[in-house]
Amino acid sequence: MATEIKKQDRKIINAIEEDLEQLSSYDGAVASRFIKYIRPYKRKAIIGIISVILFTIAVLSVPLMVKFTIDNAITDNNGTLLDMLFIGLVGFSIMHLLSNYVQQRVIREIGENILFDIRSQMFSHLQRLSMSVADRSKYGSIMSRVLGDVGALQELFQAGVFAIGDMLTLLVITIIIFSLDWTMALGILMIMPVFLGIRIFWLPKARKAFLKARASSSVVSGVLNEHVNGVKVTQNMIREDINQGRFDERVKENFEDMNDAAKYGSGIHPPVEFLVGLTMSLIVVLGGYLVSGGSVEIGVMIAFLLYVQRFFDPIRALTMHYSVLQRAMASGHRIFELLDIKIDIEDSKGAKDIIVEKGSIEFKDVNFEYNYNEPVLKNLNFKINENETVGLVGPTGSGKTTIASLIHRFYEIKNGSILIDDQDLHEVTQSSLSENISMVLQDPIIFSGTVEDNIKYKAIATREEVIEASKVVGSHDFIMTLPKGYDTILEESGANISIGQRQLLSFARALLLNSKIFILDEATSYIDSYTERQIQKALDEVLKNRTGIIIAHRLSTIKNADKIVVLDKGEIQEIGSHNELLKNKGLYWKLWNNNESSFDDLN
Amino acid sequence: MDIKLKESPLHLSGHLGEVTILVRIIKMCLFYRRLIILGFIGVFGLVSSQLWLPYLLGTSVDTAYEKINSGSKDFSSLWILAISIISVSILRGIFAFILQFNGEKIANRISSDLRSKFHKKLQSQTYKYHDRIHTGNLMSRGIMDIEGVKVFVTTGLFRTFEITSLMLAGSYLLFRTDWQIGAIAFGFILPVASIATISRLRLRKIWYRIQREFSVLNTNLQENLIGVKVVRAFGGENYEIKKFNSSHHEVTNDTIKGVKVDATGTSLMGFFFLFIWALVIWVGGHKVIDGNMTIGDLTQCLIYLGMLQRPVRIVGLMVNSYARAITCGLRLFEILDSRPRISTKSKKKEISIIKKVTFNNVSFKYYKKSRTNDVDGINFELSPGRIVGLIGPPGSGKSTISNLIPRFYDVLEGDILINKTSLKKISLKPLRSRIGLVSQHTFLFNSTLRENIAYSNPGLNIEKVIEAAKIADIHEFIDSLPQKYETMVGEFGVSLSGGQKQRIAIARNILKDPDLFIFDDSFSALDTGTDKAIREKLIPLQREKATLIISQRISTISHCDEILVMDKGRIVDRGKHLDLISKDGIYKTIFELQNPKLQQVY
Repeated sequence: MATEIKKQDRKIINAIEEDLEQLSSYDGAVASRFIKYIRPYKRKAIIGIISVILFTIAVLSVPLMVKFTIDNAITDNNGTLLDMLFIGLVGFSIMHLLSNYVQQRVIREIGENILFDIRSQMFSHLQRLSMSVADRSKYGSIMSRVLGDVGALQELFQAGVFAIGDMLTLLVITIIIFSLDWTMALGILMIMPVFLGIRIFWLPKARKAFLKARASSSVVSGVLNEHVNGVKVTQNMIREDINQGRFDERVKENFEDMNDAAKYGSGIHPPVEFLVGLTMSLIVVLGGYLVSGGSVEIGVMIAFLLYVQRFFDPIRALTMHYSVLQRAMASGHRIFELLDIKIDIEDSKGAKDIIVEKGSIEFKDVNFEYNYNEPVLKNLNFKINENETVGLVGPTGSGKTTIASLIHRFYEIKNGSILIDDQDLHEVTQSSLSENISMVLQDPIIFSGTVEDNIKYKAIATREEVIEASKVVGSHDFIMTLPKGYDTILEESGANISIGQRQLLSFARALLLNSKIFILDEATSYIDSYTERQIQKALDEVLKNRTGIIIAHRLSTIKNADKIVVLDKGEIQEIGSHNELLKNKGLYWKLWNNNESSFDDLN
Repeated sequence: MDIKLKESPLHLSGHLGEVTILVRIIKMCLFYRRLIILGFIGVFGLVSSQLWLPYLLGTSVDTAYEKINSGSKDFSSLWILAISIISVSILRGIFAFILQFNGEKIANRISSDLRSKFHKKLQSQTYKYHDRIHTGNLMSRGIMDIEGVKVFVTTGLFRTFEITSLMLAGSYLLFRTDWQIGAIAFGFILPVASIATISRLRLRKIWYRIQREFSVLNTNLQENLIGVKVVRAFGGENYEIKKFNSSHHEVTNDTIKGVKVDATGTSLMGFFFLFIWALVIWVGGHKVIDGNMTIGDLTQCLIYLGMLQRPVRIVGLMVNSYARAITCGLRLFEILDSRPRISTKSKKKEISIIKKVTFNNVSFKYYKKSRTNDVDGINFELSPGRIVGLIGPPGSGKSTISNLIPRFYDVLEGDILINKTSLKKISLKPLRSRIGLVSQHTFLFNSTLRENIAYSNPGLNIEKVIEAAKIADIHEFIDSLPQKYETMVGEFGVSLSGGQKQRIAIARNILKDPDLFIFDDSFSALDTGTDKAIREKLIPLQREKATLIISQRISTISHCDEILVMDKGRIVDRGKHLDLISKDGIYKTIFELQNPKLQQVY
């Protein structure tokens, strides 16, 4: 059993690890595209870089000042020079203060701004992509791109700038110590490769251990989440003990992984401290010989001792930055991949706003496919007249929902044309189209906010208008039973109201748009017979002066339509009123006679 | 993750409560005595080896300086010093290792313990509890809050000792070397420690706000993606962008506020450090000139000061970890200390078979404050071989009844009798094991199909699993998958349709071989044909079992021995199908709605 669990976990861990360790190396294309985002902040960036330089100077000149103070003022018993140097040192501390503040603030502020820009750009881009892209992508991966990857990219910027500082520090220190005394400098420089070697040897292993601990920790969280979500089933099945055992097993595994990681995290101390000690003793011995020989002043030795720590820090930071850089490159790839998805439906040149007065809809030889060579609609021809109510029925996959989507131009048709009031959809703006078509969808979507917010969505409407629409669709009564009526805050995805009530709200939302064309896309399929009857009544009212398209799988829903279009496999089988179709003795008649309530029962 | 303390159903208040929480966490640590002792060895070893270094370096400077004047060629003392420096450094490294490793180990132990306890508690909590507290809330406690406690153990606990002893011993040594310089150094510790603390605590507040705003942003994005069709249908693109960017602006602005606080804090700390350094050099320098101090002593002071720089800055982190541990611990212990309302501990009757279930005037409501009962005055009986159907509009209380029988909720008035014994006197687990409740919402675990079906007993052999799957009409589908019963479902596996999920839930309960079947709307996602087929295959099983079928679909329950019609929590009608359709009422209305053709006939 245990191995079985391991097998399942492996899958999850692999997925996470893949995500975490998608480390591509430096990529010039990503970097140069990224640089473009800095442009608007060019001035600030220059200020930032200048302050980084000033800061580095301030930090590094202190030991030099100390050296100078000791050698020229203290050992020479020059009190006045000491006083002057003190003022100089205070000056440096003020420079340190200012440049440090500016560098941190400016650089991180630019980082945040860039983050904002990229995220906004991604979000806007997502809004312009057609439904076909939205259908294909998984929400989770888009979410992690917009939120997670952008964060990683921001790290890149910060790490990049601070890495400049670190390299600068390293360079300047090297120059300084060589100019102070080349023998001692050479000694330190000989230890450097060892230090670097240890870091390079240690880092990947440590990172692997950390990633493993992180991955097995997410497994624990995942299992916890699952067990909490499924707690009712668990209690129903009396499986508490087995679940506890399995959970504990994962916890234990993670415990061991975390300890492994701790071993790496703390195991680096002894060798590093040894090297630091070695460097210091090198300075002590070498410096001792040189100082007593008179070739080097005592201040130099002190300066060297003070520089030792500063020398190791940038190297430590640089190796850290490297892994940040790798991660950021992977994120950058994913971000640009998203931004590079082409917007496939755009307003054509000279597109005008559509004017819908009558609300007639015509399909002329329309062919459509989601995937290449898999036709969904074949040579479709039909016309819906002004103020007509048309029912679209057909088994799953017959193309009825597709028709609704095409009227709204969610997708691009392959050929043929769709006309609304004799205006080709290709020649009108998409935004005007959505102003003129109301849609109620199969899944009622609730946004977080109040009931009123949800009915209004983007419309500018008064409370009275909201109540009015709500009364028409029959949602007013249940809204008034909610604790705060129209001001009740709906929970995430509307968890505190039933699905039928959610559908009534989305119905009211569509009505408030007050457009000439009204489409119900399987809007009643999840609803019980009771609520459906309520909606049916509302529909009669709503559709009085409108063109209506009702897509349904329950025959009772469309029975009273002026015209019923029966579809099968992307083709129209028959068109007519309920009574005409019964006389036709076709597919519709067959269903009706079998007393089947919906097309789904066909198979 | 959103942190909402206000949602907590229970409040521990006052400073006493806060201190108790830290004490409680520390007590948990003390349980691991060996690790604690090792940790303290690490602390004191690290501090004492660390304190030697400035002394050794200072002495080295003096030794070298003296050689200029004395002209001595004897360098053995320098070599000894060098070897001492290396040895002390190695010791420092080893003790740092011991400290960090054992500290993290304790923290890992404690977080593992807490996770296990947390899980156990949640598994045993009642339906009511889980109805009330959101999964997201529980998860943030189980992940973030346990992490908070963990950070306290690593950063808060040992570091406190390390840093205080380092600061105390360090300043003592400074004072001993020279009291004036010691006093100046103290002038460094105080402002820097307080700046660190203040800016940390301010950052903490900002950080919480950012987290909250971020979760709004997150929700915005999620809703935008899930609701993409609505956005497109309503042409809401620009509206969405505006909405997104408004919470986005908040996140960015607050982050920048945080950056300002942080930058102010760290740059001030850096400034104080340098300024005090300059002071020490100035004062110390004059002392050296006056012959009251050696250059080595001065160097030693400077190095001490440098050494103190890190711990003093860390004081901020430490204080932050305390504050966090208090909030986190509060939220965590609230869960761990909660007691399941439905107790199973006292002596209860163990039943081995359910023969009869009697509802005796049962009333119940989910929320105490509700004015009306959710079910009211319910009377009916379930017995072997009999099938009872339950129908009614949504919200009429059908599912509530099904949840009362396994005692997922306690009745408010009246009584449910199992074999003539009151439900409250019966031991819970054996009772539940005799009931096969197929609930309305099917939950599948991230696991194989086999595991999901054999959920009540993972050890069951595959033949039995297949047998149950066949009855539930899902075997053929499973058999058509490449990995058959070993196929993963859920987040990382194949996705199943609503109907397939329901059939798995049915199979799951068939395998349980209960005395009582309850189907709570569990055929709703199946087409009428499959629905019928499964019900027919269930007939032989049901012969010796009691059955309750809840449905919104007339065809699912029309064959029942007795049909109960519910409305607004009450049973408004009961009888057989033919009786019920011959009189006006809810039943007839539903029947007509679902059979449009008959609507014309009648």
